[in-house]
Amino acid sequence: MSAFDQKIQEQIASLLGSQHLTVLSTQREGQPYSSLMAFAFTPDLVNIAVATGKSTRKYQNLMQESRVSLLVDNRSNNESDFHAAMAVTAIGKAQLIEHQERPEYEGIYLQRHPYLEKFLASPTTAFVKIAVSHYVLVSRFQDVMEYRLGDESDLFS
Amino acid sequence: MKVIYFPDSLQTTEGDLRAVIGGKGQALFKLYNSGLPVPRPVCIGTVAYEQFVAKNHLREKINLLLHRKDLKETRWEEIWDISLRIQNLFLNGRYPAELRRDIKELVRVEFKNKPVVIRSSAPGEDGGARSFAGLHDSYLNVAGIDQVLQKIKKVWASLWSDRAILYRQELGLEVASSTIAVVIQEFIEGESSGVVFSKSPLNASQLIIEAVYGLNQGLVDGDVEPDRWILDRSVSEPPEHSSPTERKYQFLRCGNAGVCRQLLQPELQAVPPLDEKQVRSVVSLGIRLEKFFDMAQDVEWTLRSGHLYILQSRPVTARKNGEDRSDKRSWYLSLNRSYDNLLLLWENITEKLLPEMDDESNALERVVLQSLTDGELADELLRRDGINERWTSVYWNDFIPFAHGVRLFGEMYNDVVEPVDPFEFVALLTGQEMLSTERNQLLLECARMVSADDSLRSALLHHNFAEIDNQGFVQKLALLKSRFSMAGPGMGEEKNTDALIAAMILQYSSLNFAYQQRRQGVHEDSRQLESQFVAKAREKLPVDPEKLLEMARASYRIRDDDNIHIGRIAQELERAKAHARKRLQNRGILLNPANSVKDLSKMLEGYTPSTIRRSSAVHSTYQADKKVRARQLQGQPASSGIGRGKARVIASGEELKDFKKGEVLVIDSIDPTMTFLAPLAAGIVERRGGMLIHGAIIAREYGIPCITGVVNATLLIETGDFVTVDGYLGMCTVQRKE
Repeated sequence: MSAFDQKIQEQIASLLGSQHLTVLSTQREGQPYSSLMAFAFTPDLVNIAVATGKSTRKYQNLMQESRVSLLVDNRSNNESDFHAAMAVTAIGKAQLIEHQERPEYEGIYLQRHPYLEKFLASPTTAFVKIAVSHYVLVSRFQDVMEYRLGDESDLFS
Repeated sequence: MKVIYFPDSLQTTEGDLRAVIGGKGQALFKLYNSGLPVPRPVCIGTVAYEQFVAKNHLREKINLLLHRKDLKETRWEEIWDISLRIQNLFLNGRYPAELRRDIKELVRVEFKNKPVVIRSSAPGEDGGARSFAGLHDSYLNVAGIDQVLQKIKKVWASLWSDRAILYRQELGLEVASSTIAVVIQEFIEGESSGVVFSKSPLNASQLIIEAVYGLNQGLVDGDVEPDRWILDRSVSEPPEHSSPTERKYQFLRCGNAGVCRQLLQPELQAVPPLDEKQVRSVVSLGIRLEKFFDMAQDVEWTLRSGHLYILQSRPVTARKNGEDRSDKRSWYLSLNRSYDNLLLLWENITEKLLPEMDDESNALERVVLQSLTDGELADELLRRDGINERWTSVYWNDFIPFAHGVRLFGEMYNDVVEPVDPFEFVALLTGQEMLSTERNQLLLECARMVSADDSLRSALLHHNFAEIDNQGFVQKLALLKSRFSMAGPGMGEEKNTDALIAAMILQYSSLNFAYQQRRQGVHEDSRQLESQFVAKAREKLPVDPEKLLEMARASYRIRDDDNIHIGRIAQELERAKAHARKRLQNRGILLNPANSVKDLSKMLEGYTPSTIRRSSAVHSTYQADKKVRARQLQGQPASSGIGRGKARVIASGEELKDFKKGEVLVIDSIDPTMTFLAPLAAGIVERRGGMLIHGAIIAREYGIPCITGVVNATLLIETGDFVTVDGYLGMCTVQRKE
């Protein structure tokens, strides 16, 4: 891996690590729908984990259409965001976390969000992972770099 | 909140006002309050800067300019561009009503509308041991409230001067926290002026005085050579005086504004600007100030009607021993030349250097290398190497500094016109006859001939130049190679040059020949801008606007042309090298591409070089496992418009011939000897940054969108990628076809 690739990956990891919340976008019959969520991610950046109540719109959306997008950014809600803030969009497919992989994901999720222990344990909560195929990193207002994890070359395939 | 400070405010606060009026303001207040001869200073506190910045939302605008890319990867020229943009934000900004009223009132009541001096006073500046004198701007002879208000804006903007940005780390320059105050004093027009170092920076036992007739400007900028007196501080002997080579000029106030160079009256030319008694008073002033500040001082003074005035005083800063030689910043700053210095450079370049260089390359061209013996060829190689080196150093010492003419014009244009676009002035410089456009015109003429003659086309397709019997065409080909150095270095053998010229003529034959018509409309606009500028400049500028414009046009043109002139010298060296290589190879001697001129020369004389060097050029190619790729890259918008096409990344001279019409040129840095590609390109993306670099110049000539200063452009874009070049915003978007 080149130093350049590594730098971009580190920037993405550090941005994800610095934030507790992400905006998850799902859709139903072409209608996009965005929700603010707590999240965690695997150190290799391959998977992002979120949890949601099973009666929510976003959960129903995910069951119908697994292709999603997430946005994580470090804005401070000041004008300095325009030059200083970074944002990363992750594109991938959502699926329910299987029983055998649950301990690993619970570990990373609760480490970041220990106050959500009860929420996560509830039988009415779905624990979902998103297998990321692409990250799109925006910095310095309009520098945009793509980091591809999957085999698909096209962002929207 | 208090905005305006008078010297007595220092007594009432008893303390340190440095944070609100800056180091220089505080020092002047102290001197004035002690009864030392200082024109009464008044300060506009840092809060005024902050109010102005807040009202005009400048904070984030400056941040966006400074953070477009990592400043560590930003060339000095780009920093100058950023600084010009920031200056323009200030010039276009509006004063808060109350602040404007306060300043107007101050000028009326305190200065009775007399001409004033407006100086910067940054809280961090002139602070003890580390002095960054001259980082921010000062203005002399500012008359009228509008001029005062404008120059205050410029002093504020100079917090972000190119010098300050270069030294940002040492200064702790931050958009969020940095601020600046302004000092206003009556303008004293002395009969002679100068500086005194109470201790010489070079020898602490000496005191040095430098003096010129008129104002200090010429001395400070280095345009007027001063008289100098050196005195041993421990011995009471008369000072040792040395005269300049000539006392010909002095700087005086200009009628309308500013100061300008004028001829010194003949009767004064033989007389030093200070008599013995005056020298003694300057000496005692220096010593007095040293005692006052308890530190050696560098004092600017002026002498009017027998009265000596202190203009400013700051600690003497010794040059650090073993200054880091890799620190090029002081060299960059030395490129900021004064108007008078540029006029001298201009004359020297056009009257002397360019004709000499052309004579030299013509003479080299006439040498029939084939007729030289081995020994003669060996000598000829070394001679040519020396000639090439000599002109290269002339290029750095004279041609590069003259390029500042364009920048100085830009600053003056913006002062006078206050345009919304800080680079509007470039429109007045484009559309000139330049060697590169002349060469492209010649290529186009060749292309027309080829379109009308199938035998020519076929000869070019098969590189059979020898078969061409159309003498007109043959002459044009010869011109392309010699006068326009299309056989420049990096092309290697002659057959490569032929291949390149053939490929370019064939590509040009598919061009729409009407592109020149676009220029007509552009010329109309620029003529209008020009007459507006000249009319306003007559009132506001201390120099003849037409002469200034002529100088700027020469600077713009020569910046491009000089590379072609010097390219001819390099090409002649290359020709001798190629001939020597051929001669050696014909004898079965093995050569290495890295063999230097000296190697070749020795080999011709029968020696074998002891070590065979390997090429040290390691191209850092991006070993793409293609995990990371660019989607959108930022640069600077150097030529407006939008262009789309397949990228062609050019890494070496040999790849030039592969360029096809309609492609987007992606290159590390384009040289005028390669700009024949420009008319073919749908857009230009360049790694090297700057609004006034060659790629930008040629792109504007043809109205092609161009962005410069794209970090890693040739690494992140691949030949074949589909690229959109946005010359309005300075971005390119990359779409990769798999």
